[in-house]
Formats: sequence, structure tokens, C-alpha cells
Amino acid sequence: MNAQTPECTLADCTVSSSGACRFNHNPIGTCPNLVAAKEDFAAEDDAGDVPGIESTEGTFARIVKSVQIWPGDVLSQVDLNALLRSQSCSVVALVGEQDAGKTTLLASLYAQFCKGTFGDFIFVGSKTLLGFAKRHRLALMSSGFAVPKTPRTSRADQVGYFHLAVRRAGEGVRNLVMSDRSGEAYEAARIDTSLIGELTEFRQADRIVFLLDAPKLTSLETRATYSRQFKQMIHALRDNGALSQASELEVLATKMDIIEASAKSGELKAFLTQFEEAVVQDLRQKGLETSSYRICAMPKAKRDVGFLGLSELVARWTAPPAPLDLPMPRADGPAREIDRLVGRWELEAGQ
Amino acid sequence: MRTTRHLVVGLQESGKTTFAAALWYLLDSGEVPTRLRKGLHEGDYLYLEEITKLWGDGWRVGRTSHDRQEAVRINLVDETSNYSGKLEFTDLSGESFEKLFATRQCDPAFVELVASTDGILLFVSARRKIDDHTILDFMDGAGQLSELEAAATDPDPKFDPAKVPHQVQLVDLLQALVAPPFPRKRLRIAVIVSAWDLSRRNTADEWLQDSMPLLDQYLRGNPETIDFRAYGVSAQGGELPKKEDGPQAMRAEREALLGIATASTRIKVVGHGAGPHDLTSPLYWLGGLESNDEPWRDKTH
Repeated sequence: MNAQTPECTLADCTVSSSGACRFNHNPIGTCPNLVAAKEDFAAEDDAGDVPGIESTEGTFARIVKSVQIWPGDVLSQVDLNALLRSQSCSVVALVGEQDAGKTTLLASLYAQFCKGTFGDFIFVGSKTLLGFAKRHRLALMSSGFAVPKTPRTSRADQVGYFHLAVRRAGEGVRNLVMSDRSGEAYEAARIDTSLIGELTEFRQADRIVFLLDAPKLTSLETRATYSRQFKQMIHALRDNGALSQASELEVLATKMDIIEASAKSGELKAFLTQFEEAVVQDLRQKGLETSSYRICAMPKAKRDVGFLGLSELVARWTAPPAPLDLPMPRADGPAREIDRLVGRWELEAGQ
Repeated sequence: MRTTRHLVVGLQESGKTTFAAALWYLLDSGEVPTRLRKGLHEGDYLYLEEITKLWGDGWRVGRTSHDRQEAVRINLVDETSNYSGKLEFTDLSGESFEKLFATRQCDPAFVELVASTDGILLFVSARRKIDDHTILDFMDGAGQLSELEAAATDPDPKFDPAKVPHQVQLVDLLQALVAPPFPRKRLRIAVIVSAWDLSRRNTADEWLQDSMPLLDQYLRGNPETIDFRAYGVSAQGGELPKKEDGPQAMRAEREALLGIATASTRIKVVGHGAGPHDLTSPLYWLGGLESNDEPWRDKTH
């Protein structure tokens, strides 16, 4: 480690003469305003400090301008746009109010692959592995929690996208991108529809998934308001053009472990079925291709429910789009110039 | 003379330095047959001598200090293929990789190092406990709803990158190595499952599939960009004390190991036709020296 006089990019910082950082960074080497060293680090075989993260021991660490590696965290809208330009992806927008299970679902999909192949699928990669790990950390034994949980997505966070690349044996890679936005943002947009335009995830989504909190829907205390607001959310999005891009809609009932754990599970499931059918029928009548499914992404209320519906979900969400059934345009005449010429000759000869 | 450069990758205590020590002992002593043999003895062997003395004397080989990178350079020959070359590999500390994962930043020199690399020796240890058990794995039957609701209100602790499971960190690192700022190229990876004597598996592939399934899937799921083989290696020969612990520490184990007449046979290697003590076998494959091997280094994508 080479000791040298630190230099700052800020004119009013006296670190080079006084040794004191204007912003009191201690050690000084951690200050982002320091000038990178001009020395060629690559030439120093015995320099240490590799792979290049500065040691902050001592009063001043040697400063070498570090290079950013890929972030590995959740993708921003700009990142997604870049990804979609380079690769074919299925984009799924997850819509749900607070605590509907959006982030838990994302964390659970990642966790399944951490345990091995999932369904018929093998993990090929993820541009957001760090982001997944952050969302799943409170479900690990190392968290110290007694019961698994998922960190809440803050409304202050912009929409984020998670990426998974998977493949089946003998098939090509399928890229899946799933959006994650705070439930509060959707609630706000439902109430004030002028905010719907800010929900950019709908612009590129092939599939829009409405997460239906099954325990909330079936609870006597919350069912009236929750069912109304769930339908209101869909209608608000439809009426403001947010659903026009997607080719498929999905109603996805979550937390089925809690329903199964209930003493009245039969009754609750019957109510759930009735609601799902009504929503699906309503949307189909409005010309929107819609289906309903059920999942359990974290079976903590009833362990033996297992990770219900998740492998089917991966298969469905990564399925290549059905070939477009476009009617062949009717030919107005011969396609080849020579045939058109012969046709004109025949016409002239006939006249 | 051809120079083959390999990058040694592995998190803390994954057996990287012990491998280097055992390799140098094996080649320098020439006690047992190996696919590659030591060539000209020229250069600076200070680091190798330091760690190999510990290995030879039956002490646990210490890990690489977090602020050091050690370049290991060994001249090698293969008489069957008339290969004569120099093996260089950089032994980076496990902390360096963990820091890379946490900060997402690296030195430009590391980018150059990766660019000049022919292959990667990826170390994982059979000694390391599984670190990605979920709470659900240990929950029997049902959680009480009141308990679940109470847990939901607990404040979320800050994210600690060090607690991310090691297999996830390794996959992230490998993915990073094929994305900018690193040059986009195919990777040839020899996975070394160290402390193989503790693995209780028949093959290193089996161990990888059971113990690091995400890493296993990633390696198998990218045949267009990754060629890999897994080897089981016991480079130390068993559990050993640190030299600082004094001569009485684990005396019986140490004496048993020192009692092996040919020290090179302490080393155990399994997988892909490797000789029972031949640590050069993974290097032989990694360097593209096997017959009918593809001209690997020329491939880009």
C-alpha cells in the first residue's frame, strides 16, 4: 500500500495540505471526491488490494478509480428497455395492493431454483440475483427470525424488474421479467386514476397478473371492501388504457396455505371460486383474455400445502407466445410481374 | 513456450491456498506420476515455498491475507504432447471476492487479469456447512397465525451481503465475469470440490448437484458459454492444526499424516480419469491439453 498525499476534486477542500477531509471522511480514502491516482496499478504485481477494492486501513489508502461490475440488483425501467432491445423476454406485470404477496412470489421463485431444478426447468441465470437474494433474506435461517417474512417494497422505490433465465432440456433459453412495485402505488392509482399513466410496467407487459389476497377476500371482516376494491383496480386500469398492451390477464389467488389451514376451508374455497369466476367472466365479456389460478408461495400457515402452483406458473409465464393467426390477405391479382403482363396481354387480346 | 493463465476463484476457506501448496509439493518432489511435470526451475518461489513448507510439515496452510494477491508461476512440461509452458495463476483472497460481491466494484487491473485468463479454477469446499436453509425447512406442520402476524410487524434488518448464500455469490460472480466491463468470452471452469474426504459423495458432480444446486444448474444450463468439469480434491489429507497452535495440537492426526512415507500420496483427486494423487489433471484439461480437445481459447461469442 503506497502512502501519498491525497488530492481532492473540490476547490474548497484542504485535505492535501491539512490532511483533513472537508466532509470528515475517516479514513480519508473513503471520500468519493478524492482524485484517482495516476499510477498504473496493473504494473504493480505485488501491490495487493485485489480485485481492486480499496483497503481503507490507515489514514489514506491508495486511490485507484474502481470499475463498476454489473449491479445484479433489480432492473430499472431504463435497464429493462435495454434488455428488451437485446433479448426476447416475456414480461409480466404483477399488480396487487399492499401485502398481496407480489414480492413473496418473486422471492419464492428464486428460492425454488436455489434448491434445485424446478418443474421441468433448469436455472440458466439472472440479471437480478442480488435483488432476489435481498428479497429472500428474511426467509433464511441466517436471518434469525422464527417465521419467514418478505421485506416490504416501499412506495418511494420506483418500479423494479426481476429477471430469470430458464430452460427445459433440449430447448432454448427463456427469459422472464417480472415487475415489482409497491402496493401503495397501485392503491393510489386506483383512487386517483391520473396516476395510472405513471405505471410504466403496463407498456411492455405481455401478461398482467392481478394478485388476489385469498385470506383477505374470504375474511368476513374484509371481504366486502376488498372484493370491491379488487374489481375497482382492474376497471380503473382497463378504463384508462393500461390493459390494452397485454395479450393475457390473470387473476392469481395467493396465500392458499392460510385458506387450507382454516377450519372452514371448504366454505372459503367455494367463495373464492365464485369470485374468481365472476371476475374472469366479466373481463372476458369485455374482450379481455383472462384466466384464474391459485398459488402458495410461502406455506407457513400449513406446511403440507407446499409451493402450490409455482412450477405451473413458471411454465405458463415463460411459454412462447402462440403463433399469430393472421388471415392471409386476399390477392388482388398475380404476384409475379410476368403473370401480370400476360394478364394484360390477354385482356388486350380479348378487347 | 506457451503460457497458460488461470484465475483461481473461491470464497473464504475454500481450499485455494492449500491446493497451491500441495501442487507445488507434488511437482517439485516428483514423487508420484502426474500428467504435467515441473519444467525449468526459474523465478521467485518465495510464496510457494512459504506455504509448501507448512503443507510438507503437516500444518494447516493458512489462507491468503485479504490484502494480498499472490501470483503463482510454475514451468510445466508434458512429454507425451511435447507441451512446454508456464502455468500462472493468481491466488486471490476469499475476502476479495466477497467484497466484490458486496461493493459491485473492482480494480481495472482485475478486469485485465480476467481478460488474460484461459480458464478458471473455481473452489468450493465440502467442509462448508449449507448456508441457505430456509426457516420453512425447519418448520413442522403449521405456524400459528398470531405468530405469523406478529412476525410481519417486526422491523426488517438491514441487508448484509455476507449472509447471501455462497452458491448465490459464486453464480453472481461468474455471471459478472462474462458481462461488461469484463470481455465477453466463453469460460472454461474446473470446479474443485476441496476437503473431498468430507464429501460423502461418489463424484464431485453429485456433490455439486446436492450441495450447490443453483451453481450446478448455472454451470450445466449454459453449454453455449461455459464448459466445466468438477473434480473432488483432498489436498491436505485430513484435518490438521495451525502451526501457531503448537506441536501438541491434534498431535495424533498430524503424526498419522506425517507417517505417510510418500507425502504426495496424502493428496487425493477424483473425477474425469484423474490419477489418484494428480492435481495437475484439472490443469491439464483447463489448459486445453487433452487429446481431441477443442482450440478453446480461440472461441468467443
